[in-house]
Amino acid sequence: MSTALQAVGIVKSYDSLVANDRIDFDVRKGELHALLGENGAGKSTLLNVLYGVLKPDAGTIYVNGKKARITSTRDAILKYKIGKVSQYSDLVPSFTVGENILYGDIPNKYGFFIDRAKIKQTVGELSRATGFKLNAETIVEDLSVGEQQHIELMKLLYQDAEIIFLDEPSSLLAPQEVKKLFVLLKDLIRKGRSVIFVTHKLEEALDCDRITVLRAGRVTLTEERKEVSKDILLKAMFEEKITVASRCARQEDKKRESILEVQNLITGEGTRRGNLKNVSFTVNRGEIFGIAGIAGNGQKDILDVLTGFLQPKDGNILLKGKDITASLSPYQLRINNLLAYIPEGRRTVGSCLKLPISENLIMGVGRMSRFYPNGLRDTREIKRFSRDLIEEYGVKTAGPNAKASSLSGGNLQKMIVGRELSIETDLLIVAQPTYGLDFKTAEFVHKRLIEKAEEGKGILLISKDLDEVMKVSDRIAIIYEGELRELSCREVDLDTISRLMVGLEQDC
Amino acid sequence: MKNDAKGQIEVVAQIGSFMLSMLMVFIVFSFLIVISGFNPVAVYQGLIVGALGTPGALGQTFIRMGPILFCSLGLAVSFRCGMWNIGSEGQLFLGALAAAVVAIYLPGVPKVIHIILAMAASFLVGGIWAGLCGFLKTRFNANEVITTLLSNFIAIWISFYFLKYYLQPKWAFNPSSLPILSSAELPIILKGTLLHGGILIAVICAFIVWFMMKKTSLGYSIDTVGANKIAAKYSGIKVNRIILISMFISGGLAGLAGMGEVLGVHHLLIRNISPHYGFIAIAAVFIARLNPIGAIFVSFFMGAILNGGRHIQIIMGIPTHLVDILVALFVIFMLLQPLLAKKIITAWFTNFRKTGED
Repeated sequence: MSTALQAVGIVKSYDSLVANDRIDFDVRKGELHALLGENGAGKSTLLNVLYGVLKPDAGTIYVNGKKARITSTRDAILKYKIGKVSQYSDLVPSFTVGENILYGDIPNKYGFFIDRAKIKQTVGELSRATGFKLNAETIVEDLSVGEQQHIELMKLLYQDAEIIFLDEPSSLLAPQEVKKLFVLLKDLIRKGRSVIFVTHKLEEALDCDRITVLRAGRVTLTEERKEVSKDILLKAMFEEKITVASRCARQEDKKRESILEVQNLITGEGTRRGNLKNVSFTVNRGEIFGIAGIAGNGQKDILDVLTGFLQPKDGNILLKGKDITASLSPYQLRINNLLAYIPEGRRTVGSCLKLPISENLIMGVGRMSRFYPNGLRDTREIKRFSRDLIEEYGVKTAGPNAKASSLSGGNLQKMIVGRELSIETDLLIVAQPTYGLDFKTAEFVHKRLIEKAEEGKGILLISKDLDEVMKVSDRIAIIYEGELRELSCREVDLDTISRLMVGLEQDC
Repeated sequence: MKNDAKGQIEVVAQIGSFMLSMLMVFIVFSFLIVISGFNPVAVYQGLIVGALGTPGALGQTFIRMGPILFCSLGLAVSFRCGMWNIGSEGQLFLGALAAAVVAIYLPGVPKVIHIILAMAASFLVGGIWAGLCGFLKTRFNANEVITTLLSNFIAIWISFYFLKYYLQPKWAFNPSSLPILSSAELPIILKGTLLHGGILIAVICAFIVWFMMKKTSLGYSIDTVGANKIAAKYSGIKVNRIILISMFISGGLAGLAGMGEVLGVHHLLIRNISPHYGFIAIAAVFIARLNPIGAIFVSFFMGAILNGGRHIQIIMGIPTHLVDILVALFVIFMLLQPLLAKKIITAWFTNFRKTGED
């Protein structure tokens, strides 16, 4: 089999984060190739480089053995016959199947009217050629998500794509639909096309012909399907991660007073993967309780409920022993300084980019009386406070009056961490605190969190970064498909955690 | 040291781009005057004389500035809260109606108190009217641009309805009310002109709004909600409440514009109380970059153009549309100015770097 697409030494970095670190990757003609890795392993970046969305810092791409210069998605499709089905649908829901497949190339009559007969004819031909039943007149939004994905594939076939990328195609599909998708893909490769299947699920990777595993921007394994087992893949996905011993062991026997108790929490109808199905846990004083898991397994619902944005369907939330489920709102939590919160979206949720840094630092209505005694601004106090915080957290900026939008991602995160840690509260909820930060800044944030725990505060940490959870947490739980599984100290090892993260039950 | 140099360049770029914008307005407008068959020199002369030439002309400029300033201040508050209130015109009409009712039908009240009562009524009615659109936003998430825009027409016709069926005397041939009581008239502040005290109230309001936005927790909350609603909500601000308050203040200030026209200019309620002051203010407040103090100067400038424009129209027979075009050009190039400033700064630095490398 000859090589359809080959990438050599691809490097792509953002600020200080290296998303792709000298990646070598190839797909053969007629091959179904799985690209496996956790969130943030660099899969999407690689895909975007190969598809002409991102420009790599270094590296060469070959298509059919010839050096290729893919500078736009237009190049990818027209010149190199590379097509991509993105994670979320690119179809126009209110258009018909025919209009979507021929999008950008709609035949017309007299240069003005849409030629529906021609559309129908073209779709008919495509249907015969692929052996896949298509009705050109169906409106796309009437189709199921799985069927819509098939239409996207058909669209690529119409565009004559030889190399097809699928970015996490199964994330929105029911299990039966995933099976159907694989039947279709196997058919495609039999006809000589190449498919790259991006996923973080082991089972799906094991259905492919060859597997490449990415971890932290590097290729850790490329092997034929028959040469690998689940254990080998797990090792490639997570190995070397546990560089720091967990804080777990030394905390074991201490009895602690609880701050936050979550009991039997249920959200939504339980139909989505991210809905909570009976989640209970406790956060105690003086400890960091870490929840690890692959994104989209219910982390968002936990955060939304605890910050007062989402009313749970069932379950109770106890703060310092008091049931506050009914009165949970951001205002109530903040005005009484019950909660400090470092959110995941530092630009969307955590800050007001249009406002100066000082205005960002004083956010939180519980402190309004300090900075606005009797409703009037205490300019001097605000200035002093922001200067101190900027210095303490090493935020690189021209000064407190500079707009928050002038800060880099890392400095913005320092600003938010500094703000939330300066709020006098017993409970701190932290989501992805070091996402995209360089090593030194991440270390700094971790140190601060541990200090706060040692001062006697309770911290709930939710992170996709397993390394981080292992490093700073006193107790660890894994979330998978809306269910939480707390680990006892002797269970905290790589094997157990990685299995739980991808939904495999333990053998023992 | 390096920061100082950068700051200086920024100041130079700001001033330079402002002059450039004005120059462009000048060039384009001169071109239009010439192809319309007029003499540009005479037109500009007429504009300036008509706007500032005599005490009377200056007084008229201030009179036109007043309602634009009131509306701009209101818009600054709602825009900074992220509420795109396009309903100043309607709020002005209802404010005028409320002020007229108090000013005509409340006899025996001492002068200052009568004026204050009329102000309160116009503020309250304008504020509630705008607050209604705020409520539609917070309760049903109805787009405020649509609701406030449409509310203009409703408000203008409500005002006309009350004028025609209640305020207008039976014998009237024109839709206009009885004159207001003399105790409610705003005093003349410049002898020999018609300039009334409304402009002083407007300027005082500008400083009050500036103080509120800059120095109070309410202003802080409004700015935060306007910058990022989600972040504001997470920080514990009651976002819906702030939206309602900002809309109330916004409509109230527009209502005061109507009060000024009734108590200061016409001394009665007429059907067409405002020649689109509420819409002109939208342009003015953007040029002032939502700054209340800046709005004072921009409103004055807008008043001058309108007044000078009227003058050349009467004296030289220049079509009204040409004056409208002048206002439009001014708005376009002033909104372009920040972009120009940025270009100048970038060009400067690239140039600097190049010479540095050589």
